[in-house]
Amino acid sequence: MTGPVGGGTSRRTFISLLGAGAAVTAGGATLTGCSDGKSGSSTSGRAETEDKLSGLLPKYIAYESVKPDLPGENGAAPGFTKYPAELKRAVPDKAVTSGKEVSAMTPLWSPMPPGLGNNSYYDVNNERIGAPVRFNILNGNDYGDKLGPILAAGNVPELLCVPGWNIAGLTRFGQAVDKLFEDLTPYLAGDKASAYPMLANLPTRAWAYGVWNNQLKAVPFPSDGFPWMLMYRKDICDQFGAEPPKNGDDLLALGKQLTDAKANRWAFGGVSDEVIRAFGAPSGWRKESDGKLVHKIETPEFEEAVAFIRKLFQTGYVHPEVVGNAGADQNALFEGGKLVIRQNGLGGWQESLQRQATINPKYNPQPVMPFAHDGGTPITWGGDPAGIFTFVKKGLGEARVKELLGVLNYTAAPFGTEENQLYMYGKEGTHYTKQPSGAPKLTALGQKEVSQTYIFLGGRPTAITQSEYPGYVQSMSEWQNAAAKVQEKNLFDGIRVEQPAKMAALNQPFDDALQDIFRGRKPVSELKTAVKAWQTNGGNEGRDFYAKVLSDNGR
Amino acid sequence: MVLPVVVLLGVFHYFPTLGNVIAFQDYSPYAGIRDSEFIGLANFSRMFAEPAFWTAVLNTLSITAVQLVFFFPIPIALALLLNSVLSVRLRTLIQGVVYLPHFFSWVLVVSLFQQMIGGAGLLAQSLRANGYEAIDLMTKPHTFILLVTAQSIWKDAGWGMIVFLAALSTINPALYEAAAADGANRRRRLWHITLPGLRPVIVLLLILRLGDALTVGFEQFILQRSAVGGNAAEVLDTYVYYQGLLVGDFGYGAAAGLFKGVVGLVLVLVANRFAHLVGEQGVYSRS
Repeated sequence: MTGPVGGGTSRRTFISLLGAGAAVTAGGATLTGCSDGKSGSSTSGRAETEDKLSGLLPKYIAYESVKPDLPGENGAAPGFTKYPAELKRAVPDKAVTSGKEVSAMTPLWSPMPPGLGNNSYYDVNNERIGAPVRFNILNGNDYGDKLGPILAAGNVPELLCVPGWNIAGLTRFGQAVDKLFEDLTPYLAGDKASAYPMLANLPTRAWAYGVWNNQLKAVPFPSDGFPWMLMYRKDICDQFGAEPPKNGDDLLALGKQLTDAKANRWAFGGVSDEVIRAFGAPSGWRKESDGKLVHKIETPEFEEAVAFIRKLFQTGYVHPEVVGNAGADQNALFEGGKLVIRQNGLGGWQESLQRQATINPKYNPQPVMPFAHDGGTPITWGGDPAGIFTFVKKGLGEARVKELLGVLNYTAAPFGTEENQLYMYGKEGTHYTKQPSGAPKLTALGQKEVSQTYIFLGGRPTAITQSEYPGYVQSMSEWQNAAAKVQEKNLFDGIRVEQPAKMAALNQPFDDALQDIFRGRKPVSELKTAVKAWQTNGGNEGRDFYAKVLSDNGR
Repeated sequence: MVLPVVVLLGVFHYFPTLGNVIAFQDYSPYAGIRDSEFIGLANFSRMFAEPAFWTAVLNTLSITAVQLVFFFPIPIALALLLNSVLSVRLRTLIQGVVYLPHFFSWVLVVSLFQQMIGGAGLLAQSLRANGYEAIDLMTKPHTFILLVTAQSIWKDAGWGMIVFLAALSTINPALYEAAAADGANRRRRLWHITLPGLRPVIVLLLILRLGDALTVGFEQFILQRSAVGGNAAEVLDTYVYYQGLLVGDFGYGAAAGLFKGVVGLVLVLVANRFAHLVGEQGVYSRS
């Protein structure tokens, strides 16, 4: 549900690779450059500590529907191994009293569900919301490509979902926010949030990331912050007696053992970010002992990792479709057993279980425990407390904004509530049946209609809940706790940073060079050239900016 | 009668063309043309200093050159061949078959090529099944230019033939009869009657093609970009897309587009001039 869910080495990947820590912003006193609001400076970024933002943020009011039985430690999400017998009704009133249709745009990484009017799952939710929500659903893999032009045209729906990793590729996003989206501060700041108890239940740290230009602009989708997880097909590995890798050599050995081109099976899909992490490169900036900031792509670890990934490609262990197209649909290849090991966003696991539930009962993907390339203690990448944001269109009038926040209040209902169950699984008896354990099981109609749509509006506290897939909750919880334990320290923890806009244009050229090197079209030595270009075209300015953020905050 | 067309052109073509002014601005769509800052030629100087831009220009021109040599004559040859088929039914059938791919989208064409000659495609898998080393023709940057030309031929040669067929039908059959009566063989009739009959059309299309020298298509390249890398597949239009549209730097994108338009205009003028020199009418003539 959270994090970039799609393909392995796509452009989006690199954006996440540039450092989730660089997502966004707040304006104001400490560091401002862009305030004329006109042409906008294209180089400056902004930063603000979360404490200073507290006046804008909703007051946290806990709402506990169920107690987790697998607590999350060090920031990992809590796990719930069973569904409660009784669901709580969290939102008693209809949100949209006018009954006027709500327009929304969201990404989806699964096949399109039937549209409004032919989809009873929409109907049962809309009944509770009080008005039909008309989704414009776009393929998540190229959501960012559509987003820029949509923002520039100013043609936004009432509720717009914007993933943070897409923001990193947009220049002038701050301006777009100013011009197009409603300031939610007057509706939600402080005690005002109590009118929306489900929104008030979202963590304050996540809310801080919904601030742009010193205004609360978006409802955050709280995130556990892990951008990737390495997944392997346990059912296939078991056939060959293969064990999940614990170091770089294991990866190479598995490549040899599992790849059988004649049988139409390759060991790897996209794994580059996970390999780069395993080599110990940071997710974004790292502070050297001399106090200098170094970006991930400038580190020796990164270079080693690139050479290693190139080896995987050169030895023919990577599926040809992934070699041929970095944005290939790896879901189909992985689920079809054509490739055995790939990286994916954490949400992808559970989504694939839903897709395969009726198709392949033997399908058993499992996460590889984070490992370091030399078998030592690994690091994992830390991210922001919120990764996806929902904006409300500007100028709709107070009454309408309140209705729309009501919709987001509905979609923020946490695990254990009627509302959550409804937008996750539809209606009992129609879209799902209750298993003896109490867990829902989608019916044929549910398989067809239930989709991740409402879930991309707003957000809800992180939780691992899908106990309908045996072992999933335990396994995910174990992985997250292990990963959280070794998570790198985020240099900018507690500071909201808006990346200098100029850096957005650096992604594509660098990623092009990187993909060329992986695929053997350029030698590894070309990496230095690409890094140099990155530095002179804005990377160095970025470094100065981030260094100033740190020094201004006494770090 | 002309008025509606003039209005349409004015509203949907000439007026929007004025928007090119953003090429000289640090344009922000959120501020609008009026409030965006004028920065003179800064976008252009940045562009000309950018190696990636020149890579894109070079790729585009090479593709145009290769397609001019290998693609351009094929519809003509096809038209001549088809014109010599006497059975009307067979002719219609062949026409139908060769036109068809034109109506396929590039996604379909590229997937089809991928399924046939890609790394996990028919060719590679049958080679593997027979114990040979598999080859993947879709991911070779060095032969990419031939691959895209092959794709273009497969997709559009049939379509391009239509114009030539039409031109062929205007040649007076009496000429052929007279030539045949005078003892001219097939080859001589082709050389002395058919080709001269086609010449104005060929020259016209050639000039128009030259004017489009910096336009070689967009989808075809964006779809195969990751297969061969940005170095081989970046053409001007994709460059504009990535560096202008996607990151929201519209002024820069407009500068690249303007550059393209100016080069195209110059090429058309030069080619037209050349056409006049060899005694053809060209696209227009000063009267």
